[in-house]
Amino acid sequence: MIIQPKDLSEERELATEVLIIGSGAGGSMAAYTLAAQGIKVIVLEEGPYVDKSDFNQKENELVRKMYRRGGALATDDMSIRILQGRVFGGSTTINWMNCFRTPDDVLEEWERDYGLNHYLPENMQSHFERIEKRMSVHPVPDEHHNPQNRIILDAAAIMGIDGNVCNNNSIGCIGCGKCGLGCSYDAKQDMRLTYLTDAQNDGATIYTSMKAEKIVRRSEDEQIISAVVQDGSGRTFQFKTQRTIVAASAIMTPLLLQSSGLTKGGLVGKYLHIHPVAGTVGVYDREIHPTYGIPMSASSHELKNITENYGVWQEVPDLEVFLAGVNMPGTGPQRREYMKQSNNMGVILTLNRDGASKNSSGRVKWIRGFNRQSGHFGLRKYPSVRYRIDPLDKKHLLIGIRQAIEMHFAAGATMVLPMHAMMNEIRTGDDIDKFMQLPMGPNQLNVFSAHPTGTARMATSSSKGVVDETMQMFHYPGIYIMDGSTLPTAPGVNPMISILGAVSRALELGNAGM
Amino acid sequence: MGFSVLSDKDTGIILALGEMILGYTPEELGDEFVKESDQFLGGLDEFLQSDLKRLLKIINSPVTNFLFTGSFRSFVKQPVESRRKLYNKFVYSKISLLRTGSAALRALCGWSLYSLDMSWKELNHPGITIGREDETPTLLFGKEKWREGMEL
Ligand SMILES: Cc1cc2nc3c(=O)[nH]c(=O)nc-3n(C[C@H](O)[C@H](O)[C@H](O)COP(=O)(O)OP(=O)(O)OC[C@H]3O[C@@H](n4cnc5c(N)ncnc54)[C@H](O)[C@@H]3O)c2cc1C
Ligand code: SF4
Repeated sequence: MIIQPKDLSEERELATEVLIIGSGAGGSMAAYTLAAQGIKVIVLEEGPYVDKSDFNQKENELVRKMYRRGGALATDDMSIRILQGRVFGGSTTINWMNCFRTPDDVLEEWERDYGLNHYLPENMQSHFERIEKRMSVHPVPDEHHNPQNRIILDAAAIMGIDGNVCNNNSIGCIGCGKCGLGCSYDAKQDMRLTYLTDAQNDGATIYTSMKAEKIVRRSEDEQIISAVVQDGSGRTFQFKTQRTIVAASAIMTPLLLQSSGLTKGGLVGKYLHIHPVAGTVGVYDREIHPTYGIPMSASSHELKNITENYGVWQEVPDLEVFLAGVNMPGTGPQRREYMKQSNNMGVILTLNRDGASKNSSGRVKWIRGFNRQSGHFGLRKYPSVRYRIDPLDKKHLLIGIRQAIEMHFAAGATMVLPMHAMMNEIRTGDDIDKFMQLPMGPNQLNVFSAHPTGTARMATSSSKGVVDETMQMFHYPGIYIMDGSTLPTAPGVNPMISILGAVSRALELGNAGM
Repeated sequence: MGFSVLSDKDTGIILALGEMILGYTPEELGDEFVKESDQFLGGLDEFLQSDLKRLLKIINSPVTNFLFTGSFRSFVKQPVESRRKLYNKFVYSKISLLRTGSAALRALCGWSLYSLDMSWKELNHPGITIGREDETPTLLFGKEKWREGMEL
């Protein structure tokens, strides 16, 4: 059952066996698995309820409605925009459908570095298989690649490098290219249409537009969650529960835990990984129509192991016009001219598996006072997201960008726009070399992310992680974290299936103590 | 104009920024652009709204303009080229905070124009697909011959 603000009763104190905060990938898997066992489950989702009738493809309306901070979530210095859902189904409602399993070498690294010997490839396979079946994951047929994805496939063939067809979670996708605005055709098999539907069929209740503000842990078997209705009324509700599962995403989970004082161990909010992404735009003398077609249907992983199993991979985006409009280089008439050519442009995204030096300066934290990165001064606490690309990761990213530029030229681009504040156009090999010499600091190279992970990571010891292998908090039994924040490292592939798989496995191991 | 975050005075600054960054005249940008900027700001957390409002004030201040360009005139009163000169000082600055400011302004303007369908005509963007699946470059678009062998 879905309960929207208009359906709320006067009863302000409710009880349940398991309360899940967040209806994204992690929260949905938890809701489905527990409800299927007859356990009473309530899900709280801060974002609004949406179904296909809401997905009118109007960018300004939908991004404001479904993205965190109306699409403007970013690091403090605005140098890295972080796209995230704040909507029923979480980021899966607006994501680009690419489905990769966690690579075996990454799972092995989790065992080696974090002791996770229950997450080895042989433990995970059945989880991935079940998830892929439920979400109708399949390879995109050859004849369905749009011209933008063909850039990767054509360039890979010409250059003799790796080029793959990707899997996605869809049924009857017509390639409208609006995945980032929610699927108007109910083709994308996101959480709303899969695990959240199953959970509801098994009795779970989902409150939408209901934001959990604080968790009070009275004991292992009793927590009280206060939540505020997001309709401007200021109405608050209290939920008493035996188990709490926080699944609010790698950005919001640590903030909620910190405002609830659940920070023992000192690691909550640390080790943010984001898969930094840099885009390069090829300008072609043929129509590419980058805003249409199935997104991310092709990829190249030639450079995935630059330093051990850290490196980059290439994909193409679901390009909403606003994304082009915000990121296009240049100013004034020149910028306008570029935008006019956007039908003839194709974008390659270089995604970086960050953390090669086994560290991350990234963190999410409430702070007050002066923020030297944003210039903000406030006596009241405000959320701060910091992330600087580590030098080794930056080196990998640049190797990847060079490859992306070469791929564009191999596929016939006449010019490449490298998304850098100090250089608009690349036409020759010399230009590429000049580009590589530019300073690549914050707000110089244009970087974004849609994959935050790692801020409450899983490990077998509390000195390395926030949760154990069942995803229970080391210092707060009864409270579990089940979302992207628990991934111990960046997965090195688009993370949805990794998160679903890890949560499914954690529930198999511990069933959230139920 | 009934704004939620901006004041009427900010309208001129938003249009002047839009003209300089995006290359459209204030008349071309029009009220819808300013309204969208206001709505964009309205979607931010309060602390960010106040930061961005402060940034608009700073960029428009004659003192800022004097410090960076030597001309003691507010941003809105400068010709476009002088405005661009100031903006580029921010873009190319070694001081990261100034670059942050330029990134915020670019995001605000880029969003406020290109998230609106009024901007799409000039881009030859065929627009939304709902009810027009056969005319837009979806998999159903005959020209691309993607339909062949397709299982819907
Ligand atoms: C534009 C975009 C494209 C992407 N493309 C792909 C792709 O192609 N393939 C892929 O594998 N991955 C992709 N991803 C990433 C993937 O969708 C995410 O990694 C995944 O959904 C994260 O799962 P999660 O459970 O950690 O959080 P989310 O799915 O983000 O869900 C968290 C939910 O918690 C809610 N919440 C937060 N705080 C509270 C609170 N206090 N109270 C109540 N609710 C709260 C949020 O509103 C949100 O709905 C994409 C992401 C984006 C944004
Ligand atoms: S591309 Fe396919 S899955 Fe994505 S929104 Fe369009 S029809 Fe839906």
